[in-house]
Amino acid sequence: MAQPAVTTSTVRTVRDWSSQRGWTSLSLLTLILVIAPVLALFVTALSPDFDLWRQQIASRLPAQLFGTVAVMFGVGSLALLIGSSLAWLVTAYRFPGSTLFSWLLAVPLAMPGYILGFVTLAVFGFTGPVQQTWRSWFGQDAWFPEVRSTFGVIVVLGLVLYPYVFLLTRAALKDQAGAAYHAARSLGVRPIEAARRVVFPMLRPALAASLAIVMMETLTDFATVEAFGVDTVSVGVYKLLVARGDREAANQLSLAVFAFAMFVIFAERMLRGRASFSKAGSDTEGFTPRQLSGLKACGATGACLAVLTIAFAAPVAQLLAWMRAESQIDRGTPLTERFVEFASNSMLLAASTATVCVIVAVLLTNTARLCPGPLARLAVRAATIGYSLPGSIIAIGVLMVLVAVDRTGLLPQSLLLTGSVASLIYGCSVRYLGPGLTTIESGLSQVGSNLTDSARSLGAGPLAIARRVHLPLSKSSVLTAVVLVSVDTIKELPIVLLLRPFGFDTLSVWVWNLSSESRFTQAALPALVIVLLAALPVILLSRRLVRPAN
Amino acid sequence: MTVSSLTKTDTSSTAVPVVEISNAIKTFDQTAAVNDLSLTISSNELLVLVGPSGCGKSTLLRLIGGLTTLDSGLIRLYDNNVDDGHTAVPPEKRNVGLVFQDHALFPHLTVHENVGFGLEKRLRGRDSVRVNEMLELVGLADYKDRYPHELSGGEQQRVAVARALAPKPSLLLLDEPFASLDTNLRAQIRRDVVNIVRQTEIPTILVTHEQSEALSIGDRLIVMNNGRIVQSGTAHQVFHEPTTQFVAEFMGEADFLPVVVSDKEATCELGSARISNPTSKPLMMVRPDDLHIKQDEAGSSTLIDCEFRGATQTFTVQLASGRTVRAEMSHLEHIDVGANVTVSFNDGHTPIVVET
Repeated sequence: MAQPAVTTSTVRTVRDWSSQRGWTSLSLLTLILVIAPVLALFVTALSPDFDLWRQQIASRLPAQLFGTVAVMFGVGSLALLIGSSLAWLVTAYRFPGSTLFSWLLAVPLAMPGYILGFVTLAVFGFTGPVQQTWRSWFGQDAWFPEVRSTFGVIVVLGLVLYPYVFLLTRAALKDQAGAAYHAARSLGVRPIEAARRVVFPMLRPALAASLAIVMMETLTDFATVEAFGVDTVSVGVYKLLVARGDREAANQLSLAVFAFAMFVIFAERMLRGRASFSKAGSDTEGFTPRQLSGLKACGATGACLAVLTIAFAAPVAQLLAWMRAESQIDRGTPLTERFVEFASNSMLLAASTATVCVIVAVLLTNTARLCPGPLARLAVRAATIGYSLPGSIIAIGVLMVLVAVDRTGLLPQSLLLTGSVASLIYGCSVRYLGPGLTTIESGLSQVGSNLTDSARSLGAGPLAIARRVHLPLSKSSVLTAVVLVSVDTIKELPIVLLLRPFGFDTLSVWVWNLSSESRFTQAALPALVIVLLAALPVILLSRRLVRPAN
Repeated sequence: MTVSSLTKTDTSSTAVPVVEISNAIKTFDQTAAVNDLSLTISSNELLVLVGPSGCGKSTLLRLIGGLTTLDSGLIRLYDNNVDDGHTAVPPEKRNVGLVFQDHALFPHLTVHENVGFGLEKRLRGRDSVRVNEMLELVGLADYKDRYPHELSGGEQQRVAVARALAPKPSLLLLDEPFASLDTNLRAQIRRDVVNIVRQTEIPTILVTHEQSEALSIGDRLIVMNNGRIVQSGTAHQVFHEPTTQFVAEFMGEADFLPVVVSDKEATCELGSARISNPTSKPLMMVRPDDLHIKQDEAGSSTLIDCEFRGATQTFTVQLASGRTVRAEMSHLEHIDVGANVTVSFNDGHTPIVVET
């Protein structure tokens, strides 16, 4: 072969890694935009108004704190239990329907808590058909568990949030734990032991991450919790803001939510430990599932079916029944003629928010990988902060930022006017960047650092690496991020309620308005549409995860 | 630093060193992985960095490749400062090829696309001359449409080498390239890859922790320990004339005997040798292949063990002093364990004085 040819690549004067500096600056700019609303709030919250605390907040705060802890703990435990058991069941075993269940079980993700909540209340509540039948059998004073309670809301939220645990655990099981599990079995360890000693430690990051998502969702939920009459900090903020119009007090109370959120983030770090299971370039072998038969197989199928029915099929059937009943009554669903408008508003909002979130997430995670440093790491962590705050709090923050920018007069009024669709997208993006970022980050962590280093030594700059190596290899996580963010946005309520321009109604607002007036049968149609819209991407994504391309 | 190009301006001249490293220091968590190390590589040689795991050899390679940066010191490639402890040229601008232990092939790209990765867009198409040339070179022309997971370890290895060579690097770095390969195939693949690399005449640094691999490959060996270079020389020098006990033990089987120093000579119970380099704590090194034993009723040594190794056998002998040495001899020799023996040096073999 010839002599090594003379290369002509020129080297810039490198006072710093120049291309990296561009990335870092861009990331920082994005980060500032993302955390501005949070910072704005924080600044107000830092100057506490003691009178306010004594009068309005402090009296209810202990009960709210207790409610928040109880609900978070309960929902976290329940979701972890259901999600991880089901993930283990469909990955480690074969039984009738197991392939179907391995994606179907993620579908309850599409059921917003407030919808399952109002269905549950309508069916099992005091005036609902179940309790009426119960009383007709056992007498007027027959005991029945109180549905409108902390216990009730824990069950409802646990059932709609377990898919987060299920999805992340199943992915980790498939990707990483297979070979190790079989290695352990070959060393003569019983399945349960192998699960405890090998699989569980390897799953810890996934379990911690999904638990954190579940906790955050619970912490920031106000619609479901409020419907069940449980008082949490988020409910407190919303009530102060909407019912009493007291932005100051709401700001102050948001400090408490902050504290909780910080606790969850910290706990996730602790739970995740120092473990980092970056996969090498090659694929590891997945699980070879064991065939179940007889009673065991029936049990497995039954368990999956039961969860699916309670969390999704039964409530959907109930909604369908209500919708049918409603259509036979002549009064018709109010505002049905505006249905198309509401649905397209919802979808426009979801698509825009998902796009913004994914672009920002790809930018931030790639910066962290390619220009490693404390700043980049901080950026990734800090950008998820919006997800740990209730929508109502974010909405106040966005309003404050917009007002501030408005005063500077730097941008045209039309863009900024508080209450524009752009501010709504901004709010939703700040709120839902978290799940998008976490997903894309974990997808990227599956790309071995040797691949990045190889690409660099082959002359690819940061942008080329992101485009040619990182993105193609973490494609499925980008897709997952799109789905997670859009589903969350379609379901989002408080931000939309507070930031929407006049007349901009989405499906979720519609459902909320009807169900808060106990017009359950009328809320059935928009609720069903939300569930179906949300279910579609969940199903697509979930199936894709089961049978990954390539 | 001046604007310049990382270009090998004159391949026939050895005047410009390929790599110059001076006083390099790189610390991780207060442990110096590379500790005040200086090194110059000045020709199209195949240099082998060998040392036990954790000795800093891979870190040194990553520093040269730019994947990590110096705490202090200076690294120059072809007369250009690439890292001076404050600023560093990023890896993608160094024109240095890298091959990793796990090959690090891009799993979403075919063999052809992997090899073409480092080429400019217009040069890496389906009928890229360079890619085909590289695939011919490594003998994988028929595999261009396969994906990495469809290849054996050895084939992946060759794709990784082809990929690193395709952009015509001015320096090739191989980080434990054979460690992940099946032992049976390793020797063959090693020969193939080394031949390929030699054909390209690109200066190459190979890192390994295996002494046999180091001995069989390198033009020059650099033995590292604790972040420093402990010896540098040809395979022959490093094996037969180690300067320290560490190098002697690391590069092959060796036994050590205490010596008495008088004038310029060191004497142990098996013989004496000249001290070429003054050492403070000298020891005598004998390798099993240096020694010959003979059954002798009057001998003062005793054969205490015999290990069969196929073509040879290794006898362990207890000397009069109670110390043991090993002797490697033909499998045809037969001496009963427990017999008295005499120990002598094979023709041309002498003990070597090393530093403790």
